[in-house]
Amino acid sequence: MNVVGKRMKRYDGLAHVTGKSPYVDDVYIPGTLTVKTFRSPVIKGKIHRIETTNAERLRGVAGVITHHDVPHNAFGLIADQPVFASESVRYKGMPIAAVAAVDEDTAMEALERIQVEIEEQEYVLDPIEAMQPGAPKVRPEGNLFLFDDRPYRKIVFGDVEAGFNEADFVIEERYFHPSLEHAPIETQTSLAVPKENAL
Amino acid sequence: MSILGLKVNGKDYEVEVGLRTTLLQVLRDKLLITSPKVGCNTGDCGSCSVLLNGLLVRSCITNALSAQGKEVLTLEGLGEPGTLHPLQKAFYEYDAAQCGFCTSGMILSAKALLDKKPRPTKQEIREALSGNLCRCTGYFKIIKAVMAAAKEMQDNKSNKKIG
Repeated sequence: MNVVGKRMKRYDGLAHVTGKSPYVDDVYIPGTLTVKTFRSPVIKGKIHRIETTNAERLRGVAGVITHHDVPHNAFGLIADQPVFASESVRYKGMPIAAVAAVDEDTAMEALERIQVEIEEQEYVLDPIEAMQPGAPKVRPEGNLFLFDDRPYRKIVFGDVEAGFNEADFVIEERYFHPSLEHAPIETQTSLAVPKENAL
Repeated sequence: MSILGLKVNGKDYEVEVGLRTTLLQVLRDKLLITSPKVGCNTGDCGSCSVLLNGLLVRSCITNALSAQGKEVLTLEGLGEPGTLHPLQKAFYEYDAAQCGFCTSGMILSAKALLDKKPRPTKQEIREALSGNLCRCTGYFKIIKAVMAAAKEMQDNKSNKKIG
């Protein structure tokens, strides 16, 4: 019972106020490369060609990868988001290729040497418009996210109709809420160092 | 490439820098002084704040060569455990650092304020720290800590006068 019921100081407090707490970005591993991503300049389109040879030839570039190098090219809670765009672009800024180089300047220069041919397609940006029949499809399977077979999740507590009937006032309105991000200054990050037979 | 000569936390350094190298890159990548953080890297969050010849700057948007012949103070140079600066002591005592990522910039911004204005009001502290974003502790304890540090520094000063 060294701690329970006692007022304790933070175990990392002194390190915080003297600048000694190590964050992932503070760990220096010699030889670490810098990665930069080539992102789609268009909102929606069909990719005809990705040419990375010129970028690979630049001195200081360790490698360039595209969807060809990602065997399972999907991630997300429901893995439906490609790591790299392969045939189509779904949004402006979608990653198409990534460059690893000795430093940031070299990686940026390599990005400029990547050539991508994209045929622009009709896009939709507004979620309400995207739900209309005949709207351009953001994803080939359609624009609605389905829970089982419904584009919504039904949660019912009690007798809703009775609640409305008994209410003194009923206000009907359409409410919108933006998505929220915690936006920490140190973003989620991890560092793995390959060693012989281990990480 | 040019040679940059500068003093950091009382020690002289000479490093090779390019035309676009920032002071933050020199501190972190060349000198391995890591209390100034790469937060937004665009001069908005304040986590890279350092004092350059006593003046508060965001080192991520300060060209390294503009520090030629100058003196830089980072949190490492302010005080160590055992010889804590009153601001460090107060941030520790008031739990004004939770994750600690913004702390270095917060303390240096607060120091820049107290150097100019030893007895700031709460409002003046809020304004002085408005360029430093905190995303977890909240600003309440940070402001309390700066008030406490200012008071301690004033008390130390008057004690010295009496002694």
